[in-house]
Amino acid sequence: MSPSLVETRQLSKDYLLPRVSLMAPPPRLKAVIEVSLTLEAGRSLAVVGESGCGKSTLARLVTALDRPTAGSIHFDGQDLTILPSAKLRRLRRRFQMVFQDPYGSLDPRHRVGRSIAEPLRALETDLNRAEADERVAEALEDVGLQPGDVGRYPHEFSGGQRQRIAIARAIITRPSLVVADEAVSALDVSVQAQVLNLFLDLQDRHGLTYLFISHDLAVVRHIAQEVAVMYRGRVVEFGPTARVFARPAHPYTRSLLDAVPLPDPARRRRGGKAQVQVPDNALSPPPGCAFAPRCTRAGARCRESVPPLEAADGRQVACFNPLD
Amino acid sequence: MALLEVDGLTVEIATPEGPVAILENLDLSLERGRSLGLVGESGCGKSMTALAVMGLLPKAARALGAIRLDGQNLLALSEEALCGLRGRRVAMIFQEPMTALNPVKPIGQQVAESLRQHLQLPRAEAEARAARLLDRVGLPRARFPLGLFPHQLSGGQRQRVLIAAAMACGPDLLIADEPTTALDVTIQAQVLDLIAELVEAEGLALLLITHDLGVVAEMADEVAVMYSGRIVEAAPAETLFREMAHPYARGLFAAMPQAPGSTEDGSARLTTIPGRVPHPAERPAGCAFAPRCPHRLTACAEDPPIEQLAGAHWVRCLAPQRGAPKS
Repeated sequence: MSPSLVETRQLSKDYLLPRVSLMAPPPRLKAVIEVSLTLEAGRSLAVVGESGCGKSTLARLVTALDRPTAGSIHFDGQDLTILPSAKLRRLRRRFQMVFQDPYGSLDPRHRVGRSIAEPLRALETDLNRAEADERVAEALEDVGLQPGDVGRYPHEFSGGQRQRIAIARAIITRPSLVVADEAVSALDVSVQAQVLNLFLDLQDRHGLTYLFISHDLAVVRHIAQEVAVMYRGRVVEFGPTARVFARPAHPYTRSLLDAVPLPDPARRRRGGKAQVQVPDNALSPPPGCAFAPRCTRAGARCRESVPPLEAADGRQVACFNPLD
Repeated sequence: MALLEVDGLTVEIATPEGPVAILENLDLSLERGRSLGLVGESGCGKSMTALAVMGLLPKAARALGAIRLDGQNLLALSEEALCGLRGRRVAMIFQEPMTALNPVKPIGQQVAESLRQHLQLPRAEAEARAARLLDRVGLPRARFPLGLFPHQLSGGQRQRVLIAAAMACGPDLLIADEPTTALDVTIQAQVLDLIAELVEAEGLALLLITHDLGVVAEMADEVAVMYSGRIVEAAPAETLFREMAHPYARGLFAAMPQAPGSTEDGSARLTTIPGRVPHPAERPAGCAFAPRCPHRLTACAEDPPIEQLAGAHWVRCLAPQRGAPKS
């Protein structure tokens, strides 16, 4: 078994929302609740779920952009939550992020070379100009762009090329971990395929570890060996992607998979009565399993207590009535 | 006669270097109660086609050919006459539910707007009808009063408000431009179900624009594949997915990752289409896809003719492929 690069233990994050009235305590939104995940070096873990399930918050916690309310994150054995800020800063070059919107994540007034070199200026200040330029050229080549592209501006590139630039910026510090938050969701399918292939190539070449945040299950199936399904801040199912997606144990995983449109008119499911889901309030979740109000299998027990995440059938699942 | 007939539609935009054709010689036909999916990458002209049908082309654009709704050529109508049609007989749902709604107007007013405008209903009656419409799209008044503002709703709920507003005057033709692209898969499924149900119950014609072949397969009776301002393949959905002929359509299909439940090895590289959609001003002569095409022939430098492969299956390619597409 390879050593784990990232390990979260009982990680929780609450956000305080604006007070409703002067005297009332501010409402507390539990964005991430007791999440324990391990990510092995050189492998890929995907976190999936609907908007608001806490997957982006988890990414921000793992990259130490936000401090958890409780629990810890160990990166290569070091606890990021108690690390002094100078040490944390030195460690930062080993984990980098790629964001969703390649239009918003690059400064339109900076030449591409400057944007790509920015992490070096912040995190590897000992490099001289020539060394930095060399690293930029290396990173550009790595992502399939031309050396001459350093002097161009973001608007001269297509969405797919911009995402390559964002990836070059992430790998320039030679990180161990790359956290990609919806990094291919804004791209057309043909360009998405190119960028996904690039992620796989870079992993082969540099032994990168990926944490993929995505809501696209087909993309996740393609790129990540392991998947964690989140619902309302909790991990409800965690295991090898192929196994979890082929035979989901949690009813929520099943409903996510069922919702994916398939490119096969013979398997069309439309035409039934449209389901209307009554949204519940994220600030006052029900006492039991958060999915129980939407679940067809929920019993009395599901409405009373929260099911723990337990090993079953080669994965972990948090459900009292798992699917076979 | 079909409800919507697009006949040799060409849209040109004036540029300093002369007119550039954004859409070239487009033919489409859509019957009542049917749905037509328009697919292709960004920059292929899908949204421009929708805007042309709505009569919402940018000022610099010039449209040639004909767009007939029930036999009436929309391109020949005055702006005033078009205003009478938009929202009443032809309605549109846009991609961004965040920006398509007015943030400072309550949702009830936004749904009632076209009722007041087109049907001159008095306020009380328009609001009563708006409440029924919102109920119809799954936003019951008890939980979603008419006085709510867009920021108080989630993305899926806002998209439902837009659908209610689009359905208000009982249009004949509904144009949905990437209606679910910004939504989660579970919400996407609900919104698609809702659109499918409305199309069936009201006998609407649906023009669905999307880049997602999965959505097309689930929703469309007919599919037209666009590339660089032209339709390169058109067929009934079952035929198209069974025997895609155009290398571009097959390329799009092959670039999709496997279905999540598939048991095949996940880590293989995806098939990609090299290069990108050309800018309309730099479109090569002949087949515009030829520079990216794996089956390119020397003859592709000339415009390929439209070939009929079977009943309603048309393709614009000199080397149409046979058999089921490979994913």
